[in-house]
Amino acid sequence: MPITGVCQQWQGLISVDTRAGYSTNTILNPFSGEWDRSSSSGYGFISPMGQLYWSREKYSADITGGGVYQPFFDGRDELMGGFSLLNFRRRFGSSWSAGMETGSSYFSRPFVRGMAWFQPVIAWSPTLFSQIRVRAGSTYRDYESLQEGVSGSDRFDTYGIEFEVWPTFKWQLRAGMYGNMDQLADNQSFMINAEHRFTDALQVSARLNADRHSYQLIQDIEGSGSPGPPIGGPGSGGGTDTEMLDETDRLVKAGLSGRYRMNQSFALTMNMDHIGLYSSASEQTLHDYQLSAGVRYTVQPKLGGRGKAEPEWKQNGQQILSLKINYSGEGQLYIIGDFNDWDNPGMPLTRQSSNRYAAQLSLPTGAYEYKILLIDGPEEKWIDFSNDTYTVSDGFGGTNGLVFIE
Amino acid sequence: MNMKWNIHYIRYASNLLALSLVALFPVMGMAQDQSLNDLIKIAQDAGIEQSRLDELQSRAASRGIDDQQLIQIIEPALALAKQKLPTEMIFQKAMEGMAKGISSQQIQPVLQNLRLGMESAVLIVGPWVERGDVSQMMRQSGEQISGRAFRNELLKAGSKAMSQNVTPEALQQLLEAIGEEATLARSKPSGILTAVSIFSDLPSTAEHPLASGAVVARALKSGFGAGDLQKLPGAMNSAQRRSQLPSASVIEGLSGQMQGGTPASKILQNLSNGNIGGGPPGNVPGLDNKPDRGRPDNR
Repeated sequence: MPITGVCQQWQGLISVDTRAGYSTNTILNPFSGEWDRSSSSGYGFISPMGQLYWSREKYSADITGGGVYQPFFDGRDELMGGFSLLNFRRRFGSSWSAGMETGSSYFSRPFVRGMAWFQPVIAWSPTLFSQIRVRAGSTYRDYESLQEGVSGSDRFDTYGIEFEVWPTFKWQLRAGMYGNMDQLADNQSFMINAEHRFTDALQVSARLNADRHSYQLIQDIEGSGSPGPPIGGPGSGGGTDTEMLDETDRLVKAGLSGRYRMNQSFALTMNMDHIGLYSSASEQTLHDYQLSAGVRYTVQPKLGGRGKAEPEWKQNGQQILSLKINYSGEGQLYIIGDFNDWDNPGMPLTRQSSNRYAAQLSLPTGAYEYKILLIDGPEEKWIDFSNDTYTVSDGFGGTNGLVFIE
Repeated sequence: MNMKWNIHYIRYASNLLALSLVALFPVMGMAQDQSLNDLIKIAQDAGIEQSRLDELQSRAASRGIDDQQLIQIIEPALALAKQKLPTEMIFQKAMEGMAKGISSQQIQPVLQNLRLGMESAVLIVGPWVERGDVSQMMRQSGEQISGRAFRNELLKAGSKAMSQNVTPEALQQLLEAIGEEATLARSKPSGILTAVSIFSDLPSTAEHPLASGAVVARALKSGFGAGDLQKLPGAMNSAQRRSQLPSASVIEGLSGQMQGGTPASKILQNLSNGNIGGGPPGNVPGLDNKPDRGRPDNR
């Protein structure tokens, strides 16, 4: 038997995203998505997020939950809310998969908005380095503008077609087309995204979005209408002595992002976005921008590893090895293996902290199998290794850890 | 032609050996019945160190293993010693079994299996180690390992692979791929030992042994050191589990990343994250939903 035969796996991810920035339009905030250029202001941003990933044979799922807190420095109400995502998929062969993406969010101030969506997704990978995804589904929205006093509930039936390719291992290119299914010709959005990894630590991405929204503007015969685009808004109200005008808003959004990973946990982030609105209704061109920079903290907690040993081998110089074991439990730990002819109980590990033990060995070049033995009073017990430890079959129905000495 | 003939010869020899063992077992048993001391003397004459035999006897006594059972444990080592093959692996496995409280009846077939693996592996590993370019690699590597120790360690790795159902053809192909000029030029003894040791542990070896051997050799050629290689089985397991792609796809993606010049550490990270090809989107489900991407649909 080869190494760990795990067929079911949980993995977790926790991150906290913090930023400070300046924005002239809240449409540039990915969590707001509402058109509001009433004031330009600096802002702070913090978003904790947790994610669980599960897989078993051909099935996999991920659950994501997080919160957002965004205070504005000009005294406006802060944006607060939370979101959840549940994605489930099944793989059919090596090229096809299908599943469901669902989620919900709730944000408040200066609006109150609750949303829920579900989207069946089909994905096809013609090669290992490319994928086409088609998704279509419905989004339900409940909205209330606290400033304008408008409220309502509605449903959008949307579709999306996305293509992604990795022409080299440093470039990732994505393109997508999105729209409303009940207004196929009226509302369309196109996206192009290019990401380049300069080094393992530094990656930079550039993106370009082009949206077209056609709508009918209800206008007083002697008056003029508002140029505000329909994005995120509940729609226009009605009037009496009015006429209907066919209008189109075109938005072009360009952005540049960078991320520099300082170590396993911390990364510096930077975002620059510009959006241009070209409205036929007002015959105006509007420009807005956003700049932000921050720090992201990420940690991947070990799941299901309680009571298991996770050795960390470090080779100092030619043949001296430092071994550290992460293990939480009572008793004295020993390492035993090929290096000492499996002579019980082996070499004792010294306790460095509540769950960390260490030893130093001097071994010539070669491969060595080993085990960790726990002696607690009269009881002796072999400690299982974590899933991340390199283990091999011992031929007797168990497993040994294996380490190579250069 | 020559390689095919060798493989047929190895298979024939292995089968013949197994049949001989079965046929001779009762006769050997009778001989063993006579005296443990006689067997130990024969073992010493065959080159097995007295201290190893003493240690084994001492451990056996402390575990309540009687002389007849000990004779069966020593016999595979004696058979190897008579062929001038390393016996250390047999002694270590026997002592491991005793340390774990395994019965001698369960230890003995494991030792026989190791012996058969060693006898098959030596027919492939022996000539390979004696090649002139391999000797040159040893001299130029700067690593402190003697030619004899390298041969013994490689035999140990090869026999372990063969005892875990790696075929002689697959081991031969692996060593031939490692022995190519461009690969050998970038390899060190520790890397080669690790490459052979991990071979049977790769999730793709059972289904695609030849392709797996090629990818291991390519890893050496791409600059994977021993430390990187020992992480490869775990990373490939993780990649297969997370991407849920067949093992052939994992090999293809891994080869592509190596061809693309991606550093070993980055490849291992990609594989652990399920990024078979370096990062196609569907391979890491969920990670697209990072906070800076916002919710999926804000249009």
